[in-house]
Amino acid sequence: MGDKKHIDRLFQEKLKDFEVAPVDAVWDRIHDELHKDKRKRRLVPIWWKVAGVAAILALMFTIVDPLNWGAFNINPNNGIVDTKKNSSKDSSDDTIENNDLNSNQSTSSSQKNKIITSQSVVEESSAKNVETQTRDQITESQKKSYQSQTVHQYLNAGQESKSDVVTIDQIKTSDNSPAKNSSHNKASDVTANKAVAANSKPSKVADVVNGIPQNNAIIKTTQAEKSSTDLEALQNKEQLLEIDKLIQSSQTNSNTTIAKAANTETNLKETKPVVDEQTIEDAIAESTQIEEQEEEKFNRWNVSPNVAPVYFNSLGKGSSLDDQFVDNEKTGSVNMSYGINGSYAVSNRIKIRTGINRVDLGYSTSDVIVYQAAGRVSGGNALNTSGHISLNSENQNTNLLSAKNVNFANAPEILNTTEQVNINQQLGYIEVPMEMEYSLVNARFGLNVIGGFSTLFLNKNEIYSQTDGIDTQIGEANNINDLSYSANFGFGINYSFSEKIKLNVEPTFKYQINTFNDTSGDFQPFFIGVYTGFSYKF
Amino acid sequence: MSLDRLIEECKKNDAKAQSQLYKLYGSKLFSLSLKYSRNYAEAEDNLQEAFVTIFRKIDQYKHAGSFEGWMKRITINTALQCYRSVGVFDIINEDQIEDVTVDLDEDAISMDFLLQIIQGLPDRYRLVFNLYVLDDYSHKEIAEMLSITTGTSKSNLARARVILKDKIEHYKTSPNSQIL
Repeated sequence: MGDKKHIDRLFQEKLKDFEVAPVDAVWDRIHDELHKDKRKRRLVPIWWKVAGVAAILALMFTIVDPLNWGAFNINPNNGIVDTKKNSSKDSSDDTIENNDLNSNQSTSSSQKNKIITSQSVVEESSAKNVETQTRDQITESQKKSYQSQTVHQYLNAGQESKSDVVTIDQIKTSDNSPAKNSSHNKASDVTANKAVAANSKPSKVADVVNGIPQNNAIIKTTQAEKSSTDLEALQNKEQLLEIDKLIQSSQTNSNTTIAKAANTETNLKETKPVVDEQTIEDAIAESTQIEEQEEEKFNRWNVSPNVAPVYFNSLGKGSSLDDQFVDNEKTGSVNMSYGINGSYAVSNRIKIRTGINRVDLGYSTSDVIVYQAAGRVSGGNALNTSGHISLNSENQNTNLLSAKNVNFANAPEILNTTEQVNINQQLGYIEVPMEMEYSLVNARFGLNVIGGFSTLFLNKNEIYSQTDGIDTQIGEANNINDLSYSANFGFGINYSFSEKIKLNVEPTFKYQINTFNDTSGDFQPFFIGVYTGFSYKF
Repeated sequence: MSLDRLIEECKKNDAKAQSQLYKLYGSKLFSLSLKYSRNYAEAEDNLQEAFVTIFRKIDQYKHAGSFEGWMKRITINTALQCYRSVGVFDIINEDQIEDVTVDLDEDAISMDFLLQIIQGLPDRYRLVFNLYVLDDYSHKEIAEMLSITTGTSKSNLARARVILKDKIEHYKTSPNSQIL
């Protein structure tokens, strides 16, 4: 048993040399916490590099990809463009056809002496044959026989006054010719036209079809047709007399047959384009698609100069200048930003944009006592005059003191007589944004959301004291990073004046990252700008 | 490396210097944390927080006064902050209680036991006892630090002593029984 002892002494003596080593994990946690900031700061640029690379890759792919399409499409493209030209001729249809007919009249009239009426009959029939041949893909030899057969059929049919084709000739000749020869001539005139019309159509069909490499057979058929018409012309000459008789007998036909003939004529005209139309439709459809693609290609780039009033402030309560100003009232000021942006439309809705802007930011801290004094003045609680401010040479003796920290009752005289002023911090940046724009509404009035990041390069760093509207530069901040970033989010509203020109208004919030390397309190700078400008679409 | 040099390196946020400083003072500040905390885990948290504060504010240390004392103050303040925010202080009678003495067989009482009973004290009793008895703060200082009156501080201290005495005496009669 020992002495009675005061309990305090017991603890003091016993615990004097008390020492327990903490586990290693504690140090690891401390180290992590101390250096996580650094890691975070490093992470941002790395993230940025990755994002930049991704953006460039995305741009490259979107630019390169169309070239690949181009390589794919070059052949069919050319073919289709050709057909489009031809088909447009065709699709502009009757009028052009009529013109063709008229213009061809003269050429055909030179032929008419040789081939006379039978030719027209033959050609019309062969024209019909072409139609059937294109469908059935009959071989050359088959076709020859077939054509000659049909010629005979037609002729026979004509004798029986059943064939419309023949009746056309009959009627026309009957209208115009009292004399046989002249009737032949005139009939051949009209029929030659038809023949030309008939010829021109299949040839056009062939042209159109040429574009689509499948139907080579048709080319053959038209060639075959020519040779067959020659053959048949010879055959038909023999049958000339028969036709003459036929014409004579049909001279008595009434006007109603004329109408009939006219109908059949138009029918003939109409039935032939049907073949064309299918290919034309396809061709037009394809060519318009290509046109659209080409249009898109040309309209992807956009350039927009813009100007914006920007308002700068901090989200948290704190000061970028010094500990003592944490509680002082701060007012963000409105400055200007201007620059030029370019955008590239990845798709109808998504645009990638970048550019270069000049941004001026500023805010003022009120209730600051600025006084000149060599050395330190006691009386304030926190007289750390330097803070994050590097004073310039003329103001080396300037002291800044927050009026909030001064107990004026026992402060030195100088503090009571000095006016309280605002300290104005001005920052200027060159901003390079990298943003994505997604359009929600894509009409005359457009609405889009914008998100992205900006890289900010510091180009102005000034601190002023502001008395009665007079600014005196006293120095600069020494805690501002030359390179910083901002996370951007905004809405864009635009109005299209024309296809090419748009008015844009984009209220955008930019949260600054890594702006200061040390701030007091919770100073989280941001700025809001209403970016306004016209954009021009190339 | 001298302590001053080490401090300068730490001001540059040099990880090696920080590690060295921790090795030098980690144990001392951990035992301090242990006395101010309820348990081992809480003491670890406190030590961590204290060292982070120390390294972050080391550039504010102007070589006036002992560096160890500066670090101890930060460690204690960290512990106090923890309980300030918790707000578990109970309203107590501020009557003065007589000085407490104990019969003791010093060898029979281990350091671990003393630490255990300190940690077992209600939060404010523990803080006041530690501050006054072990770290030489005056009641006036304690009152300011904990935002209480000096009377409360004195009363808390007296109550802490009584509790500690009871526990020690109980321990002496049956040293192997569970204390807390």
